[in-house]
Parts: sequence; structure tokens; C-alpha cells
Amino acid sequence: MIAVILRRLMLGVVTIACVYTLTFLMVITIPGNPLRQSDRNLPPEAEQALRVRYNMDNNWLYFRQFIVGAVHGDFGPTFTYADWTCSQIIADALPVSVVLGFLAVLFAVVVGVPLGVISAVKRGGALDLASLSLVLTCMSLPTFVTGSGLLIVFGVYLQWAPVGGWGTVAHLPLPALTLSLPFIAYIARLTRAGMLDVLGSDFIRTALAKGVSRQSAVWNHALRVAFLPVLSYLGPAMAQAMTGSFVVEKVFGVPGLGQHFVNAALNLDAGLILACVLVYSTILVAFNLVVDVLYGWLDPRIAGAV
Amino acid sequence: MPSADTIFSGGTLRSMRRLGKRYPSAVVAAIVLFSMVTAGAASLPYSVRWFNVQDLGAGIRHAPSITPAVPEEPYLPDRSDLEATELGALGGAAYRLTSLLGHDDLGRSLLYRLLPGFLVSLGIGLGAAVMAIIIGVLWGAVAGLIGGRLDSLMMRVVDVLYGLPYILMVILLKIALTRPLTSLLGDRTRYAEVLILFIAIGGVSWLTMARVVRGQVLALRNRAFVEASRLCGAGTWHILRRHIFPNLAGPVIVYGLLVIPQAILQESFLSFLGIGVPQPIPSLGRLAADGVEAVNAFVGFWWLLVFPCATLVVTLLALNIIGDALRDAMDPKSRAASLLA
Amino acid sequence: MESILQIQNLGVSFRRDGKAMPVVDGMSLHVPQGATVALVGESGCGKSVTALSVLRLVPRPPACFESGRVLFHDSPDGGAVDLLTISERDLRRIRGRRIAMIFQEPMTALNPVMTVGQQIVEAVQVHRSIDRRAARDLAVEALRSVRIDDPQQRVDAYPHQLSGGMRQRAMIAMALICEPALLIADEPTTALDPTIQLQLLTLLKEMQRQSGLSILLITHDLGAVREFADYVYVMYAGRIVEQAPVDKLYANPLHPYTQGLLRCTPRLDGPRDRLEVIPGTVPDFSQLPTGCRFHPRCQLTRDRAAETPEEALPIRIDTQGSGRPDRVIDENDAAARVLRRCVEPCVGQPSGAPALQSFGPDHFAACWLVE
Repeated sequence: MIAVILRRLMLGVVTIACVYTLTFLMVITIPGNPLRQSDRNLPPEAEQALRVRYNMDNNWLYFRQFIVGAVHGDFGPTFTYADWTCSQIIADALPVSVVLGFLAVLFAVVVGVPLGVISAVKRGGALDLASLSLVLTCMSLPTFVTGSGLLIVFGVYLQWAPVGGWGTVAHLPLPALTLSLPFIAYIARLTRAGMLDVLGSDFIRTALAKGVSRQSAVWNHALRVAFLPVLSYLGPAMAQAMTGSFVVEKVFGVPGLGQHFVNAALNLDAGLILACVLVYSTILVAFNLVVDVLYGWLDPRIAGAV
Repeated sequence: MPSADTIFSGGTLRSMRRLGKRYPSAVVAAIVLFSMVTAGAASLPYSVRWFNVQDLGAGIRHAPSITPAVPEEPYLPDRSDLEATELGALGGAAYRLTSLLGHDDLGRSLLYRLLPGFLVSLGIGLGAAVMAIIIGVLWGAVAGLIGGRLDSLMMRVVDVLYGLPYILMVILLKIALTRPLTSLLGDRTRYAEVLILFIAIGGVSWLTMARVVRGQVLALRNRAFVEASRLCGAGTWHILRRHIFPNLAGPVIVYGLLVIPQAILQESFLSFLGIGVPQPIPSLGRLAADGVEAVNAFVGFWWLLVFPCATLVVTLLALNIIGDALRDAMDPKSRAASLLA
Repeated sequence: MESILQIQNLGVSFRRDGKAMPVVDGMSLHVPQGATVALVGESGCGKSVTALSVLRLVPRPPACFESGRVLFHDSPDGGAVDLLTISERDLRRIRGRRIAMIFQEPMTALNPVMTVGQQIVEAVQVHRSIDRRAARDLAVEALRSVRIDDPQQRVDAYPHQLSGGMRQRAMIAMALICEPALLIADEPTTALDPTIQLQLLTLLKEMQRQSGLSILLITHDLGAVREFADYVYVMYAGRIVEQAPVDKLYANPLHPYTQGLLRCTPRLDGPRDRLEVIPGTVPDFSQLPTGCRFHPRCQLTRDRAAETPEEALPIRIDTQGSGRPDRVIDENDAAARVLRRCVEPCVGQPSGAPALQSFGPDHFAACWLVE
């Protein structure tokens, strides 16, 4: 088992390296220079000094220095925020995003899995139709629309939740719910497909022949197998939820990591782009590793094979 | 995944009728979508005239009403008199509808921004789907057909690209593409930007398609009828043309169809960030994003949020329902008998 | 002898595209207390559906119970319950506890992500409360009783870690752990190789001797039937065509289908000629032949038709089974003449499929031609 984890870890490091290199290549080929942003009128000498300081004239050196620094937890300077370093920005925003993303995915699992199970068991019936409509609606609503809608209803009219901001528990539910809707849709759909695969299996019949109740056959026997595809989706889902929440952050004024992704890209802030991509792929690799370990634990057929 | 012939057998018309019977919601969705496209296309001459007409007086954020809020001859600086009269004659009836859905903060008619906006969004979705299909099918088919080292390398690339943050890539791609394309197209920058938009969105949407196609090709390659054809001495090209491509059609159509709503959603996110379609071209995403901003400033301007969002949601819902029905139809296990039903 | 299970006039049909296919039609069967009753027939003749119907384990829809009763005599005073109509709750108390079942494919019939032990323990726990430790000990004991080596270790194994024979032994352990009165074995050895088949059947026989278990054995292996069953029912296209005690059936098979089946079973003591086969396949249930369902493949029908002088055959036949002849046979059509020669005894019978008739004590066959 340890050997398997180590090999997965190696593979993850390779993936991160590939992603880093690819992003780097894209960043250096893109025209534009963050130092010439309209709001920062630098004198030419100062600009030149900065370029030299951050090895911006020598791509290879920059490539090397950045990754060496990143390994030590130093992502270098950002060109958009004057008094901050990338490491400070990430240290500040990452916990917020992790909490929000984790809550959103947790909520998505708690709602999406039962939705998918019921929909598969009552296939073709009214409940299936209702759940399918819910899923399709979740898929068809842009986050900024649901976010604004929830904000207006619960924040402005009902005043059950603060209109925006971050810091207390009361700030959590609305953004987490908004963020979770697309994930609910996807998880419900994965669960439904997995359950349909399993429900006709012989081992369900065996369970019923033993005298197991329908509920237990569905929730204990079938779901054990049907949950596996959902589990492997949870890795990417966590990474996405923790970094792709910029719309939710913007709507609810949450100081998370997502806005930095977008701002870094919009400002062509090479340092911040690379820092964000590294954080994203590290989260992705880490959660995929966790998921793999859980998978091996839940599906004994895989454990021996990896 | 079953081959396409399971749903497309027995004549296209007959199989469509059968599908319609099983998925009445998809029929409704198709009808809704079709009438929206018709409305958008039919009103195009009028919306081209009205979509960017600003009335900075009475028109600003004018609430929906059945009587027009703006004077019949608005200020048209860049049109000759002759052109203006011609258009005026054409749009007599259309003029009366300008205030039906209200006006935005520049006094522009929401109706005549919404109608072409729908077409722009659908166009971006279709363009992205075509992009995704071209790249995805080529990538997946080559990987699946050649196999071996190249296959694992190509699929590894797909894995790595899956590991990139999606929205970041769209933004970077868009920025990267902007300069070469604008220099190519010269002063028609606006239209170049729309083109860039769907290339960027399509450029990141092909990954799933590539995986699906590769899986399908691998499955088909080992099927008995392909083996039989090979034993009969059929060449690679013949096998591709007669056996592989026809059987790819089903899944490619379905997954291509599902790219459209995703692309529209992506565009709306980009518009929300201010880097979607360029002003003043309307798109559903841009209009909805503008609506969100207007409503955040003052809740009273409900129509600016409600109508664009409703159109956006109806469009996406219709596309998703159709795609979902087709996918369900191709999936035999969705109808397997179960003891627990 | 007291019956433990009585299937009376069972009719099961499958509905597809609005059409009902009678997969089991007017089937009656008795399992005496402590006996082994075999139900044999080709694949697709409805024997598995019959077995699954006893515990209402056929998926409905598409299946549908059209008629009949399945009486289970479990109480000492001879009272019986109809398994087709009792509540789901009561049925669950019978499933696994009084009637257990083992299935054909032990790989797919066991849950791949639960250990063998967990699955055996579950079989106990659904019927009585028992603490974990005791349940585990019981599972180990059950595995030992079906001759699995090293049961202490194997109880924690997953199905994929066991061989096919071992999986089926685990299935038997799971089925018998609640000491049921009746075991339904649905082709328990079909997926296994012959030496293992024999071992497993011997094991079942032994368990039966120890506990007085009754067994309903569904199989198409006539060798196994001869060895292990007391009474045999032969099924064809959803109907029983012959039933008899095992020695009588083998000594004197009456129905042409049974005769055909026996002729195509290889025997060590038989002549070393080519094996005979029954021509054709089991008919599609949506297009059953009129009259006797076996007639298109029946040697006897053909022989009889060949003997009959042509002018003695009918000119009109009843192809719809409506009781009235509706088709005139064209004398000039060669194919029709052949048909006409074959029809009279079996196809043209307006009463449809033949009913079971007694041919001596305990021996019944359903054929128009056997005398």
C-alpha cells in the first residue's frame, strides 16, 4: 500500500511539473507586460531594475528560480499588488477558499447522492422526473444568477444572512450553497448512472433472496458500488470548488483564492499566475491521492491491482 | 456505450418519432428552442437597427411598457438620411415593441438586445461545439486507432490538460489569441473577438470528447464486425469509413450537443468578468451580467435581471434537456429491468 | 409424503412493447419434504423464472404474475401461505430464513465490495439479532461446514480472491446458515468445471442428509439429476412436458423431448456413437407455435406424419389457435404439403398445447401422440 501511494505521489509530482511548464510556456508567449499596467506609472529605469531583479529577461533563469522558490514556499513577487508577495496572498486567501470549497462539495455529496439514488430507483417515475428537472436546472443556472438571487431573497428581503463579507459562520451558507449547485447536479447524475449500472446486478438479487429489505439493498449493497465513480470525481471537484469560486467570491464579497486566479490572468501577472496554477495542481494532486487511497479501501478489487 | 445504430435504426424520421414519444420533454425543449431561433432570426433586421440605439433621455432604465418610451426618430449619427428612412419604413411595427421589455442604463431597448443576444450566444455555443468536435474527434480517433505508445502519450496529455484550471486557461487562451487575430482581421476587431471567444472556449472543451471518442474507437476496433471486415481484406480507410465513423456519430453528436450549453455558460462567466463579447455586441451572458450589476445597485430594475436570466436559463435548460434525452436514449442500461423499482 | 412447496398453475408473462409473452404457462410442481426435486430444460425455457417466482425475485415490470399460487407449507399443523400474495414484510421473513436460494454465477451473485464474512453475517443478522463476535464465529463455522480450508482467513476474503468453486461453497454456506427448510438451487454448478460440480452436489446432498433440507434443483445437467434428484420435472417453452420419479424417467422416458434430451447426454456406459441433438432451438416466446409447443422440433410428429396417408390429413388447419380452421392448404404448394403432413396430430389440435396425462403411478407426460 505504501509503495502504491509513493508511486502515485511520484506521478502527481510529474503532473504538477508538466502543468507548471505548460503554463509557463503560455505565460511567456503571451504578449503584454504586467509592469506596464495603466495604474502603475513606473519610470523606465525602475522598470528595468525590476526586470533584472526578477530575472524577467532570462526566461530559463526565471523558470528555475520560481520553482526553486515555490518548493520552499516562496512564490516570489506579484506585479499587481504593490505591498504583497504571492505567498502572502495565497496564505491569506487559501484558507477561505478551502473552507468554502469543502463545505460546497460536502453539501453537494449530501444532497446529490440521495438525489441520484432515488432517481435511479424510481426510474421513469415522478420522483425521477422531479430530480432530473432539479439537476438540469442546477446545470442551467449560471452561478452569478443563483448567487444574486439567493442574496436578494435571503440577504436583502428576508435578512436571514449577511449581504456579503466573510468572518462569521453566518457568512458561510449562501456562498457555499451557490457554489455547490453545479456539483450537486454532476454528482446526482453520476450516482444515477452508477446505480442504474448496479441495480440489475445479480448480487442485489442475492441480497434480496437473503431477506434483506429493499432499502438496505439499495443503500447498503448497491450504493457501495455505485458510489465509486462519485468518489473518483471528488478529487477534481474539491480542487475546482476550492479555486474556481471567483464568481461566488465576487457576488458575496468573499476574500478567497478564485478572484486571484482571474485577476492574475487578466493582469498577465506571471508570478501570480504560476503561483495559482501550482496551488491548484497541488490541491488537485493531493485530493486525487486521498481519493485513490479511499478508493482502494472501498473497492477491494482495485487494491490488489494498482 | 452502444453504437449509434441502436437509436438511429429504421430511418431517421421513424427513430425521431420514437424518441419523441419516449422523451416528450425533449420535444417541448426542441420546439421552444426552434421558436426562439425563429424569433431571433426573424427580428434580425429590426434588432440590427435597434440594438445599439441609445436614448440618454427618457429611455434610461425605462420600465417595461407596451408604448414606446423613445421618440420614433432617434439620434443616428452614423447613418445617412436615406438609410434611416428606409429602416424607419421597415421597422414601423417593430418600433412599437422597443419598450416591451424595458430599457437598460444607456436607454437601449432590452428586447432588441435580447433577440440578437440569444443568437450570438447560440452561435458561440455552436462554434465551440464544432471546435471541440474537430479537435476531440481527431485527437481521440488518432489515439484510439494507432494505439500503443502514442495512445498513452496522447491520453497523458489530456490528463495533464484536465489538471489545468479551466477558467484560467480560457482567459489565457483568449489573451494569447487576441493579438494575432486582430492583426489578421484588421479593424473588424469586434468580430474577431467573438471568434476568439469560441475558439478559446472550444479549445478547452474538447477533452471529454477526446476521451469518449477514444473509448468508442477502442471498443469498436475489437468488435466482431470490424474483425470480420478485416478478415475479408478490407483496408484501413474502408474500415474507418464504413464501420468506425458511422458508429462514432451518435456519441459525438450527443457530447457535441452538451458542449453548447457549457460554452454558453462559460461565455456568461467571461462576460460577468468583463471579458466576454465586446461592447456593444449583446450576448445572453453579457445581458445577464449587466442585469446582475444593475440590480445589485438598485433592486428596482428587476427587468434587466429577470428577462436576460430567464432567456439564458430557458436556452440552457432546453439544450440540456435535448442532450440528456439523446444520451439516455443511447444508454441501454437506462432501461434495464430492476428488482428494486 | 408431505409437500413443502406446491406451485399450482403458475403463469408468468413478460411484457415488452405492449405484448405479453407467456414465459411460464400453467406450471404445477410439488416438492416433498426432505426430497430433491429437479426441474430440467434447455436455456430459456422458463425454469429460472419459475425458481425466482417462488421468492418473487423476478423484476416486475417487465414480468407479471398472470395466474396460480405458490404454497409454502412451513408450519407443523399443515397450514400454508401463498408466496405470491403475502405481504413484502412477511415474504422477507421467509426469504433466506425458511427458503434460501443459490445462483448460477457465484462471481456476480456475491457483492464484490463486501467480504464473504460480511455477506454471511448479514444473512444471519437480517433475521435475528446477534452480536458481531458471535455472528463472525457463526460465519467461520459455516465456511468450515462447506469444507473451505482455513475458514478463519477466508472469512475476510473478498469474492474475487476466491476460486469459482470456493465462491459457490461460500454461497451455500450463506444460504444454509439460517437452516432453511427449502433450498432453491438455480443452476448452481453450471459455471464450474466438472470435478467441482460433483464435489458441490455431493456437499449439498450431505447437508441435506444432516438437516432434512428439501431441495429444488434447477439444472440442464441430466447426469447430475440422475445422481442426485428423487423426482424430475421436464420443462419446455414454459410448460411441464413430463414428470416422473427419477428412475422411471430414465428407464422409460415418454415425451419425445425427454427422449431427445436423454439421447444427447453423453454416458460412459452407453454406445460410443455420435451424440444426437434435438434439431432447432427453443421457440421465441413472442411467436409460439400453435398446438403443441414442441411440434416443430418433434421427431415423433414427423414420424407419425410420414406414416399417415396423405388423404387422411385435414385440408384446413387452425393457425391462430382460435378453435376454427382458418387456412386452406394449397395442394400445389410443396412446402404446404409438408406442413400439412406434419400438422394433423399436433398443430391442428384446436385445444392448443396438450395437458399432462397420467401414464402410470407418478408418471405424467404432455403429448398428443404418446399412448
